[in-house]
Amino acid sequence: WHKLIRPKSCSMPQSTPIDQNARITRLQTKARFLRINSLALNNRTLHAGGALSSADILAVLFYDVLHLDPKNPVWQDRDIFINSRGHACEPLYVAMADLGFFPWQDLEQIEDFGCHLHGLSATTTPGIEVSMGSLGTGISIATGMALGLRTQQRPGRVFLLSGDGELQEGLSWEGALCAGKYGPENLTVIVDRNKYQSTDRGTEMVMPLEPLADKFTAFGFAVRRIDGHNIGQILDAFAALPVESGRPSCIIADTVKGKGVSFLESGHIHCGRFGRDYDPKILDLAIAELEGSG
Amino acid sequence: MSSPASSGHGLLKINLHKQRDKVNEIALGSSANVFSEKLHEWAARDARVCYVGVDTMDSEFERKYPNRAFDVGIAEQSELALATGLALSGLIPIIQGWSPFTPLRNFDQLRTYLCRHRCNAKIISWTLGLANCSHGTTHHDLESVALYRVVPNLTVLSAFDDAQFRQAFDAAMAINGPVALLGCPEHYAPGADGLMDPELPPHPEYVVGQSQWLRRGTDATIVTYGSAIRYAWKAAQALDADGINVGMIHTTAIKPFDVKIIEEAARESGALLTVEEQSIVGGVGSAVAEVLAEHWPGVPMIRMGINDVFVEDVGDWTYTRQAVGLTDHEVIRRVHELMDQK
Repeated sequence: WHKLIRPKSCSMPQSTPIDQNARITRLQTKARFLRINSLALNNRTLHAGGALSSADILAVLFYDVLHLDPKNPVWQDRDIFINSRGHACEPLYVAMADLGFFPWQDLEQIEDFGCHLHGLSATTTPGIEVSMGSLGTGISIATGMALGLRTQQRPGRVFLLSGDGELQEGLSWEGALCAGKYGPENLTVIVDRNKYQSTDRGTEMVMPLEPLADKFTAFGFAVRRIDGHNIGQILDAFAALPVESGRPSCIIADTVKGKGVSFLESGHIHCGRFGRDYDPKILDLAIAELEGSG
Repeated sequence: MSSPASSGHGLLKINLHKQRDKVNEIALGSSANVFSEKLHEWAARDARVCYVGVDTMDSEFERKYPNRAFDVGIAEQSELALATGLALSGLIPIIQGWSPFTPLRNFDQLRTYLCRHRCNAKIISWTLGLANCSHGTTHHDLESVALYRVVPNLTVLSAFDDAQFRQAFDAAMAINGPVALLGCPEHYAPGADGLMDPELPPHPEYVVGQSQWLRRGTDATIVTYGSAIRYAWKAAQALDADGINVGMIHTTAIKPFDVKIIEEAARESGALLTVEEQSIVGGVGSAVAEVLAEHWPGVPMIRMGINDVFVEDVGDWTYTRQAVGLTDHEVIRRVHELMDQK
């Protein structure tokens, strides 16, 4: 069990305007914390590759973009974040613990008997909006939530972080059709486009998804494609929402599975428990590399 | 005529006219469509009520409540997933459940999302059993009840006629959670089975969790629901005329299942026959068998339904039911068989 490293600052950021460079540096630091602690948690959980590929997006969302109140997770006017795949939820848990949705020490009980932190994010954890995990359902549910908020004239926006492999499920596209028809501009689908399945085979080999931007455009989304590890680009994309008025937004974030750990980026051990399936020294090496990268 | 009416069932010819009139009434948005009536009533009463259809939009509803009308097209998975999102945002979706495709094609969304999250949503399910007779196996609904029964948090109600449907709809709305309300196929294809509605005794008050005695008897009890009530009731009257005292239960409470009324039936009549237009595997017949096995072992019972087969011999509704042995004559024969086991 690798020791979790608690970041020093855990305040919500929106209150004090800071200059853009300082803002980016701060979010990069947060992303590094999410990565290090995700790997520490990954001693027990499963999806290191997706956790590392989505850490920058989650850092920007949770430390800069989302309107949330950790002390009142059901606040009426909050934004809604949905982890569509349910999997790879380690950085999400770390950010939420850091922000105070639940006690930091709960992380040490992840997947223990009776612990609210399941292997796939679930509503047992305060602040998790929907229990996900049966892949490909997220776009439809998020569309329903966005339309429901719009009908009730509530200010909340809906952000769905989708894996790319789950877009192979037919329901993903039923949901996209529906979002295109009703055009909720309070809906943003973010695709963590890390290009690998959980089997560590490439999406384009298993079932090609490209041209992905064209597909979402054809279904009625306004699409923007960014580098999912460039904090500045991620910030800019979220600041310019909706991408077009009257349409749902899709941000395709090109990412690298296992981002931040050289031998994970180049290798193919994205899915597995470090402490159980591999030599424990690998985890120490990975965390040492991340700690040295700051 | 190339319609099913040419297959030799004279009664159907007469009823086709009645059916056409009713369909016209429904198409014109008349209050004859009891579902539409209840949908409008509740939408007017509660601003959270919205409609989710699968290529089944109620045009008048859409005109009156454009922000509460959602039609996902022919996409059952999307229907229940969208409804889950709508419910989680605070709305109360009324969902057109076009069986068998709900819950066959969207069972994962029903189980893992709508019901796991205890969504306050109501699925109104039509065309159960062999109502879509001539379409064949793709459109036969032989397993909805079995599937609905295994989903936690879900309440499953059944209603036979318009009056009871209104009561059941109100009961469903009073539940803060997911409900599947099985409407009698009469609402979809009025009179299409060539059997007129039986003159049932007045319905008791509709109470969730309590099934209803239609008559009590000491020789055997028939447990039934939906369109099977028609021929089961006819059989019960014929048996009565022969001096055989048969009770009859309308299973309005499918989930939670009314165990108490089955125990009463076991105690009073000592033999049970279940009759349903569903597979004999997993439906109300199975529910009764579970109660008897746990609480009244030794009480003889027989399950009547579709005998774990696909129904490929199709015609009109009456013909198709005859082909699988769901008739009043067969009910009478099975009651005698059951009494011999006592």
